[in-house]
Amino acid sequence: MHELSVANEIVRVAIREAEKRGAKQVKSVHLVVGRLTHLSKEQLTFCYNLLKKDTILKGSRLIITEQEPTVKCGSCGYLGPISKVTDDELGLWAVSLTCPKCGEPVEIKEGLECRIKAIRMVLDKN
Amino acid sequence: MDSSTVIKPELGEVFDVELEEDILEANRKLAEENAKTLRKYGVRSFDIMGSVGSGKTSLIERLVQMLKGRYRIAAIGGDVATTIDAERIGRHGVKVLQINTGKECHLDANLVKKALSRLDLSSIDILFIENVGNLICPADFPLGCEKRVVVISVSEGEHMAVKHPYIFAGADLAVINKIDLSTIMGVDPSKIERDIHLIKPNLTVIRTSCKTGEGVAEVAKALGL
Repeated sequence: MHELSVANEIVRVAIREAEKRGAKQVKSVHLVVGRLTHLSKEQLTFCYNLLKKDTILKGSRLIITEQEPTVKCGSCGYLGPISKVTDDELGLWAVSLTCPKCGEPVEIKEGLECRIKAIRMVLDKN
Repeated sequence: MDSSTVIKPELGEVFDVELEEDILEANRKLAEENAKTLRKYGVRSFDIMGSVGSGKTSLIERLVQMLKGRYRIAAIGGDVATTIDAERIGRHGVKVLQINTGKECHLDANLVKKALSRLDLSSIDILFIENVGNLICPADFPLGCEKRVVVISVSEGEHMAVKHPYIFAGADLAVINKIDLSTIMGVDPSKIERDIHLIKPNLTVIRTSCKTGEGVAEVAKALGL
């Protein structure tokens, strides 16, 4: 729901980095988005494509990789994928902060990020 | 180092800039700053989140009525427009400040930082921040409060928790409000509570009716007030 402001920030950072290096063109911006955020890949891409017009990013693509959530259990030491709650009858699907091994509460380690990992750019010959 | 051993991209060459810059992290950092400011002044702060109409303002009003004799209280109201909610809370004789987000569907740490700069924190013991009515976006934007409280009501139906797991995953207290309507609504609050515990097993869940005042004292206790 707040993809426009997030995309705006991505564009701002990418332009800043490109200008810092005197790039003449940006090819792609690589973003990692955790599945535990409410950010939609489609909406982020849509907003990015709107915002990149008339900037150095105009010919670039936003490439999003989704990060699966991982959790750590303070009790048994489990480190791995988050548990999921499903109810087939109701078609429900939700994450659970319960340890899949011992049932104790877990802490989120990955899945909340929205990180610009890399920007691919073409440097200016001058 | 000898310049011949340093590899530099040829001009005109495609170059990958590794960055690792987190867009949401900027808000988290500001939230930490807010938390630090609030701690410095000894202000206990609570972020009240929930859907439109779940009873966030009513809960704050009830808590203010109950606690204003013992604590110096202030409240920040967050809405897209109007000062209606802040005025409701202000009628109880406490300092209120309204943030109008204009377009945004949630409060963020920067807006709260601005609001904090307009409050005399040394004259406040408790700060309630009422987030914009929304169970989705506030989850991604911590404000720096000591505790995050999510309020849902039985009138929103039985499946609110499993439909919005992330807001519960990040909450420190869950309130099921309008408990006086559960029979009329045909909603079993135990079912909602079970769902909340599937998402976050150690989350305290309190049933309230902000209309009758039922459960409000327990909320205050759970907040350590």
